[in-house]
Amino acid sequence: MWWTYIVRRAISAIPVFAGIITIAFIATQSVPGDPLAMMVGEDVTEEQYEALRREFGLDRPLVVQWGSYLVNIATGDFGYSLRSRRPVNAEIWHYFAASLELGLAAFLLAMAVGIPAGIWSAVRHDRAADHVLRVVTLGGVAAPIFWTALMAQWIFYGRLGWLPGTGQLGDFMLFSNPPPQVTGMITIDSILVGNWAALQDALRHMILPASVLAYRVVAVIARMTRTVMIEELAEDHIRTARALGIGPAAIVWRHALKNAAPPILTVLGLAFGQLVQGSILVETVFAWPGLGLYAVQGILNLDYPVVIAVSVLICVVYVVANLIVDLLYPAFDPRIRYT
Amino acid sequence: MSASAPTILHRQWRRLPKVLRLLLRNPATALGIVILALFVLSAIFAPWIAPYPSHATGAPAGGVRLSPPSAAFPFGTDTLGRDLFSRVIVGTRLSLMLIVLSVAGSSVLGVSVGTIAGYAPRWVDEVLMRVTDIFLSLPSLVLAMLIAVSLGAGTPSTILAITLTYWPRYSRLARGEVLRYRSKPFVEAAAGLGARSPRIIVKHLLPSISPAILVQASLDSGATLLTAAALGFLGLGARPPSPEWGLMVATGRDLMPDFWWLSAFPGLAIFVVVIGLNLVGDGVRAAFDPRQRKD
Repeated sequence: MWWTYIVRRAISAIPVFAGIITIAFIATQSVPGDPLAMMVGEDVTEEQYEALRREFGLDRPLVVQWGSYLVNIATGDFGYSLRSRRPVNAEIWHYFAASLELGLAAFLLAMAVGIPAGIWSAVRHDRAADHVLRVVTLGGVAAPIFWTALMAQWIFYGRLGWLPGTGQLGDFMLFSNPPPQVTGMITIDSILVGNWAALQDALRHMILPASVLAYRVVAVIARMTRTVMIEELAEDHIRTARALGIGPAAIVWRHALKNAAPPILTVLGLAFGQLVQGSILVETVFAWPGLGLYAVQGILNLDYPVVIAVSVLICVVYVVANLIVDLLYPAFDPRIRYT
Repeated sequence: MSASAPTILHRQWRRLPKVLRLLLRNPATALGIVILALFVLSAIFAPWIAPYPSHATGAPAGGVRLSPPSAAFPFGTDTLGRDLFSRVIVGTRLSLMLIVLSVAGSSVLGVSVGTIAGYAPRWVDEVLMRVTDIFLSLPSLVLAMLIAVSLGAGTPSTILAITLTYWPRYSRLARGEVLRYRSKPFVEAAAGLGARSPRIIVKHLLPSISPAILVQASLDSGATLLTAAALGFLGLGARPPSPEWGLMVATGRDLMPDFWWLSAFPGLAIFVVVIGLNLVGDGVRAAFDPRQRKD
């Protein structure tokens, strides 16, 4: 029944994907300017230009182009990048791996900080720690993330020189001893081959972008954790547990948090979505070769197969993250079942 | 029939003075109101507050280029010798306009769709809500980027992009509220007395759902400004020489380590205004929602 649920969810996601592909298609079609002309420059004859148009299928009616797009993407074929002329499929997974690595690092960091901070704030409700957290989270939600990224880069790289400012690896490491491409995630690849120097370098490069990305999400997670924990700690069964002499730590971690888990889980799903979006801006600032950077370049080059591919992939991540959240609910709340 | 409309309007908005008092009693909300008041005042009086209002777009002849913050130029000057403080102050007008028009656009579009869905036959409701769901499940920045790309850079396309990105929230909300109110006795009474659908919607339903829409709008306005600034930063929003804050942060980015003030102050302006908007948004929600009032 788990499986039927997953299949049902997957089917219900189909119109969403058709929708994003259509929106992306309309958007890229109405772009002012001719991407093909931009790509080939002015040194081609009329015939060569027409041949290229045919090669990319741009001479067909729009409805046909749209239809073939839907079919191709459904089979996992994102077409050719107009700029590099390579299949988008060949390029995108490299960027995807880099984004996934950064996103997961930021997500783990945000959870590791946000949930305990929210709990701490709930336990010390309306005392100094609670107020400090409120101010900090207020800032996290309100700060434009591209600005936070620039400021962090300026202070920790430009001024203090503590951390590298851009990229995934230092130049020296990149040329002397880079880890092999296995998963595409540099930290994991370094561990796989035991290249500890590369691992250290990769982690140092990740600290700034991951922290900036995590900051906004920490705020969201901590706020939600605080709200549900305050409610939960006021419940009757918690009072009973206290009266029975159970210690404060056990009450918080074993009794209250378990019941507070489903709403926190929902927020984690939402937070992951926010993280994916924030990464577009953070990657741009830190020159992190991820999906966000790929999309921004695609937009600036009018490389619409790339733009559509990234949009679709980001939506897939979005939908899958929410699906995982839904599948995790019963682990915390036995009343929820999938039928 | 028409006697019931003022009563309903009255009932919904009678709480207004109380709501305002509640808003001001909360120190966080009061701070937000102060920030917003300063923001709006500076937008209205920008030409008189800014020391060099002409620097907002044009470059001065023989100005001091890339001067660090000083008494004469509190936020420093840019590569063309323009006073950054003046540009940030004049930029409040643009930001205020972006927020007001985007929130107005998305709420009007969303409420129209949602009200129609909640009131129309079943199949219309199905179609409109499926479309809403599709838009809701797309990451908003990606969607706004796609729309902004297709419309070309510029302030009007930013407003349109945000409108087309944020409307589904209002549409869901309005539909839910309409469904909640349409079976209430005062609406059924109006229908029974022969009022037609448009009249029922305008006179009875819209006043009833307006508090919920207002709350959503005040919660959204901060995010709206952040999206507009992000589009500006990516080069998909306002175009130079517009004093749009996100664009100004992006322009300063290339000169970042040495000439930090170019990006720092416009970004700070976004930050402060969004804090103000979010504080007021939280306060408005708490004031209209009795369940949250204790928090």
